[in-house]
Formats: sequence, structure tokens, C-alpha cells
Amino acid sequence: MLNTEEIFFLKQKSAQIRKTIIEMLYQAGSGHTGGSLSLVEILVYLYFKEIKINMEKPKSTERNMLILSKGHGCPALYTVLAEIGLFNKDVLKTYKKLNSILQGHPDRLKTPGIDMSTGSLGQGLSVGIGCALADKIKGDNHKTYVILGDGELQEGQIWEAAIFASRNDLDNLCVFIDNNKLQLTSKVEEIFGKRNLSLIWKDFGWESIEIDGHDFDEIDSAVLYPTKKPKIVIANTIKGKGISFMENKIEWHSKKISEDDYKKALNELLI
Amino acid sequence: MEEIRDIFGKELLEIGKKEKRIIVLDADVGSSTRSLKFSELGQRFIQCGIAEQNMVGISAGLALKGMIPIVTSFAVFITGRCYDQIRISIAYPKLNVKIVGSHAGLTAGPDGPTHQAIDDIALMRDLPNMMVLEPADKKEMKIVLNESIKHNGPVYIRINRGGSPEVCNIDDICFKKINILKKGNDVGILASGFMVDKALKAAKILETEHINALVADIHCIKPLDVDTLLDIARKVRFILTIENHSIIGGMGSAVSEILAELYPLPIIKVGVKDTFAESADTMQLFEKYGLTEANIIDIIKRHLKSNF
Repeated sequence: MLNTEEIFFLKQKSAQIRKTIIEMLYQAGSGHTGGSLSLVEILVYLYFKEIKINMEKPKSTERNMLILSKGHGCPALYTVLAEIGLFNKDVLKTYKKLNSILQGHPDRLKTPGIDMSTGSLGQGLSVGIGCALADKIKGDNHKTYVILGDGELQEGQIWEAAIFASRNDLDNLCVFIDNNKLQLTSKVEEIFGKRNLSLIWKDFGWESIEIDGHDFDEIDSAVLYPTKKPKIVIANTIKGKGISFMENKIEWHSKKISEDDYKKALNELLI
Repeated sequence: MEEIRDIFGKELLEIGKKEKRIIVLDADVGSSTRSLKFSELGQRFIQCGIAEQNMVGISAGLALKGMIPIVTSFAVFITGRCYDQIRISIAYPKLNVKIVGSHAGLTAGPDGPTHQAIDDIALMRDLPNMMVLEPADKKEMKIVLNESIKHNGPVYIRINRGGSPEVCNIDDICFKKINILKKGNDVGILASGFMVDKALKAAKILETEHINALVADIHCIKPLDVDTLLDIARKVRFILTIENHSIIGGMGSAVSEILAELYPLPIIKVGVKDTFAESADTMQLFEKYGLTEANIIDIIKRHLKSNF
């Protein structure tokens, strides 16, 4: 259980990070706003509680790791990495610009703290499985976290990976689904169908836990829940979370933030 | 007769006994690729089932954690089926994964075009950071495998199915260097894999007709040994490349790209001519699609006649 002070701290960090994401995407003139805002609490929890990066050797993989399989959510991840000190916050202004260390999608070679290059959907779960498997073979006691988008579950490779992970008892693998229910052109259910995700993953042999992805207590208990199986955390989130006019709006998948939008958003985020 | 893939399986096991970071991954064809031999080493052999894309992703994760994964399947599946996974999860993040594809080109014979990788070199060669290798015989297989494991970065090795005549003298094999097997100055025959044997046989016959052919084995298709290639080009009147692959995007294309820029001379590419082949015995396919010493001889003689 998190204590009140910890929750207060994590909530404050989340508010700060939402503000920085909006500033960054406004300056960049493009970017995936909705799917970055839905991720904030999960990332804040992981990087302030579970993943300790050695600032001298950020590339070292002898630690808990994160594969952001939904790479388009990287504005949130870059902001968190800047917040914990992997690079100066000024660098966020260079996001997607020529010669920047911050690419449009995560690049492990360019950005300190990025554990894996992603961006072509469906690939990160397999990579996370490889990390978890390596730790098992080496006898290392690290955990691998993966974040998938809910739309990403339409990729076939996810299901190849789902079969493999449970057959190999990867209890050191914890996968979040950022279940924000919208994708680029429609609601996820219009394409994927109305399905019981929890049942599907259980049937594939996973420990399945459904939570409110913006609630730190629920994230904490899901992460700490003991199991011998690979774990899937279906995190129900709100796309565009925190900015009223962006919440649950399909167009805010990657709409350009105008000056008006920017001012209105910052007003809502005043902290 | 012991095949080049048998040596791959055996040598990999021997290397794996000493180098504990090696992990071998298979997609349910290990008995054919011979990677199954590695299962002797227990959990360092990983059966991924019929799910090549996931297998490639897992290999990337293993490499992130400092292991040396060897992902194996038929050349056609390990490259074509997983192209985007190799591109995004291996080549772009520059991970230390060795990709091994067996049954290359027409050596998948009777299984037909669905199983014949005639485009795998093209697919792997266009990827930044990727090294592309094709050993000609068993001796070269050993060296290519050992050296590629020492190399830190993504590598693709294509292996043929079937018996491979010995063509290389082990002392002359220098990793990543073009190996000149026979000197000559009328024509330079550049070959990869099983085609090296055919090139040598053709050159011998040509000699009886006073045509002096140089024969070189190119086991490293990328990066290409430009210095030796230029030396060869300066010595001969024209070049003939022969490969068990499409003439589009393969070794012949790689050679042409370099020489067109640095030392233009006529280059004739022999290989599968922008077509899917068909089911048949490999030797029959080589015959029908022109991958024979007779075809090499015929083309060279015609070219010499028309030009001089």
C-alpha cells in the first residue's frame, strides 16, 4: 500500500508531467497527445517506484526495464525521463526536430533511458519476453515491464507472444494495456469487437488484473500482486486524461495543439 | 554426404559449449536447419513454435540483456515473414542478433516458390547496420559462423540445403574478404554459396578453350570488399556474377552498384530472372533457371565473340 504522502507526491508529479507534455507537443506542432496523457500515471508509478536507472550507465540492462511497445506514447516517457534527470528539460523542446536526441518514436541509441526502439506496433511484447527470458536464464532477479496500446492488440504478433509467455512461466514479466478505448480512426471496439480482455488473457494462461489506470493505489496493488504467471494489467484509462476538451475525443489522437488549445489546456492544469 | 547445414549445427553446438551467452531460437524447423542440435544445452535452446515474428522479437530482448541470440528458420521465413521485426527490433537498435536462414534460393527445391528464398539477400542487404554472409562450403561455414559471433551487431547468414563440394582452401579464407580462387584476365566470375563450385568448373572448361577466367568467392555480400573487387575489375575485360538468388537486389546487384560508380565495365548477372521458380529437384531447377556451368560458359563465350 502506498501512504498518503507517496500518493500526494505521485499525483503532483503527474500534474507536472501533463503540463510539460502539453508544452512540448504545442512547441513541436504535432505529436500523439491523447495516448500520451492516458499513460501518465502508469509511467510515473513505474519510474518513481519500480525502475531505477543508473544515471552514470543508463544503458545498463541489469535492472528493471520498460519496453514502451506503443511507441507513439513517447512524449509522456521523454517527459518522465527528463523529470528523473536523464537529460535536461530544455531538450524536450527539440522533440522531433533535426539533430534531436528525441525522435518521433523511441530510439534506444539516441535517447538515454530509452530501453528499446519501438514504433511499429505489435513488437514490444516479444522484446519484453526476450528480456524476461534472459533474466531467467542468467538467474537475475529483475522485472520487465511492457506497455501495450489497446488498439495494438489487433497486431497478430501480440498473440504469438501471448502464447509463448505463459508456456514459459515468465512471472518476471508485467504487461500493461493502456486501455483508453480509442484508436486513430475509431473506437477500438468497432474494430476489435466488444470483448472481455480479462477472459481472453486468462485463457491464454496469464494472470489478468483489471484496474483504473489513473489510480496509484490500484496500479501499486496490481504490480505487487504475487503470481507465478506472466501478468497482464488491463489499465482502464481515459485518452486525453486531464484536459477536459481532449478527454475521450478521437481527434486528439494526434491533432495539432493550437495556441487557443494550449492556453485553455494550461489553465486547466494550473498547479 | 555431410551438408553445410550439418556443419552449422555441429559448429554452433561446439561454440555454444564455450560461449555461454549464445542462445539458439527455432521456429519448429530445427530438424531441417540443424539448429535442433543445440537442444543438448537445455534451456539455451528456445523452441518458439510456428511464430517467427515473435521469435525475432524475443531475440532482440535477449540481445538487450547481453546474450548472443541465433535465430534460425528457413531463409524465406526468417527474412520475408519477419522483415519489419528485423528492421525495427534488430537493425534499427543495432542489436547483437545473428539471423540464420537455411534452404536458401532454389535449394528448397521440391517445396516450391513459397519456400524458395530468392529475395532474402535483397531484403537483408537494404537494412542499415546489417551484415550479409553466404558461405560457399563447410570450411567457410565454420569461419563465417565463428567470426560473425565475434562481430558485435546484426548479421544475416544464408545457408544452402544439400551437399556442398569443397571449394575453399582454409588458409585462404579471410573473413569479409573476397577470396580469389583462380587467377585470370579475360573474365572475372564472381560467385556466392553453391555457385562457387559451378564457377570453378566452368573456368576449368573455359581454360581448355584458351579463355582465362578469374574465379572469386564472395562470402561477405555486405559490406562488400571494395578493394579486392576493384583489383579484380582492373584485371579483367568483363564481370559475370552468379548467385542462387534473384538477379534483382542480390550479390550481382551489390557488385554492380559499386563498379558502376568506381570502375564501370560490362557486368552480366546470372541468377533467377525476376520470376518465381517452381517445384522440382534442386539440380533440375538450377538447370532450368540457368544456374549451371554450361550456362556460364555459353554466356562468356557469346560475350567474348560479340565484343571482340
